[in-house]
Amino acid sequence: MKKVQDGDFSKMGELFDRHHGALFGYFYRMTSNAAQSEDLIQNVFYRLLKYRHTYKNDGKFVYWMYAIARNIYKDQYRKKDPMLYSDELSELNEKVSEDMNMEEHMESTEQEALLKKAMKKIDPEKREAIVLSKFQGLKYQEIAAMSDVSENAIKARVRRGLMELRSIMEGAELNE
Amino acid sequence: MKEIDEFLSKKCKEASDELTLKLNQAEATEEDLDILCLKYPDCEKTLREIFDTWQKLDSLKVPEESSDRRDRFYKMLGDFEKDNEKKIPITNAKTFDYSSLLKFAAVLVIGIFIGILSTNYNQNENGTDQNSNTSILTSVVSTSTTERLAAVQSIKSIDSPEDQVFEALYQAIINDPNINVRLSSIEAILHFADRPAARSKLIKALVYQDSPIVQMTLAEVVIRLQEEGAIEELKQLIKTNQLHPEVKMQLKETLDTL
Repeated sequence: MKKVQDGDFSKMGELFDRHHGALFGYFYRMTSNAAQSEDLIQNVFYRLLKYRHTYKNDGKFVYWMYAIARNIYKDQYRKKDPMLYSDELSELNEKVSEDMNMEEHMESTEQEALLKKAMKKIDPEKREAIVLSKFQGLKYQEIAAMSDVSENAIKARVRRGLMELRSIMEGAELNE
Repeated sequence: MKEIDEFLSKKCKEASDELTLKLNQAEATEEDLDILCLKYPDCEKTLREIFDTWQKLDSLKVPEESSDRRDRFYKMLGDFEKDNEKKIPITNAKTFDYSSLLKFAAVLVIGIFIGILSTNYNQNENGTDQNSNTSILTSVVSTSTTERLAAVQSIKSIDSPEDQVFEALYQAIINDPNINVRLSSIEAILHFADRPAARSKLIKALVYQDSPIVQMTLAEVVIRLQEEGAIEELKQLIKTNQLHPEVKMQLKETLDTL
């Protein structure tokens, strides 16, 4: 990142190769939409470039990256950010994503489909705490620091999130 | 809004947190779960449900990313670089073609001034402020644009800079290949506008500018300073044909006000 800060933007390609997979996992689990997740990743790297001067080399790069990713996710869902990077592929991908989602849905197992449904229904803060702690390898302390809340608050979000997932899944099974 | 764990006892909340903390650290196994259930028998159902749900999350698969993801990334990177270039325009082909040469010239010229400055300091007993002058000026000759910018910015923190510092800034204004370094140098000199040596360098620099942005900035600075000493330089500058029409107009207006 230091080299990017010094104007060598080609180094951003290395960062993209290293981190896009993890970011895709984060956004996909948050949105359940593959095409949208890819758009959001573009925006993360756009903002990493745009705000490169604000990165201080005293912290882990991934924390900064996830802090930006979280903000982009929030902005997207609040629809408050007109600055989001977009290209002509985005519109096309939105259409494709509907087909992809249908296909993915058909292929997924019943349990996965139930979980996906439940994940969409729980509060985004709880969903995020689960995703970051379970899949992105971040510790409670790190998530708490990024979210500007206490570690206990993150523990509570994970606990409640898991209980809500369980409850939604059980309710769905009963209704079937 | 009521939370789902509202009716969970404090003890069971603690037990659940202990379990999820272990899960987060990737250490929790079925054995750990059994131990926790023995430790908190009243919370066994909750603990097993939380453990089970956590394990089930593994079935949540992530699809393959599209094959054009890299192309899209590099398109975005290209767009960003273009935007970035627009914000920091290179003013003419000559500057662009000979930027390495200019950089070398800037380093050489400023280096000579540092040499002079260092010699003077060795002869002088009063060290602290002068040492900071020398160390900052050493950074002004750095080959890294970021370091040169930082060095120019830090000059503003010197309480009473030597006249040679203004000379170094002047050399940066007329020689540095990076427009941001040149603009920062103007700003740094302006910071000491109460010093005649600083003002004279700003006026002197006007004649040597080929960048419209730097010319405009210097013209604005001269207006702000209401510097009558700039009249001759401004007249000389207006006579040349190298000026951007807008700059020429602004300089004429400046002359009228002086």
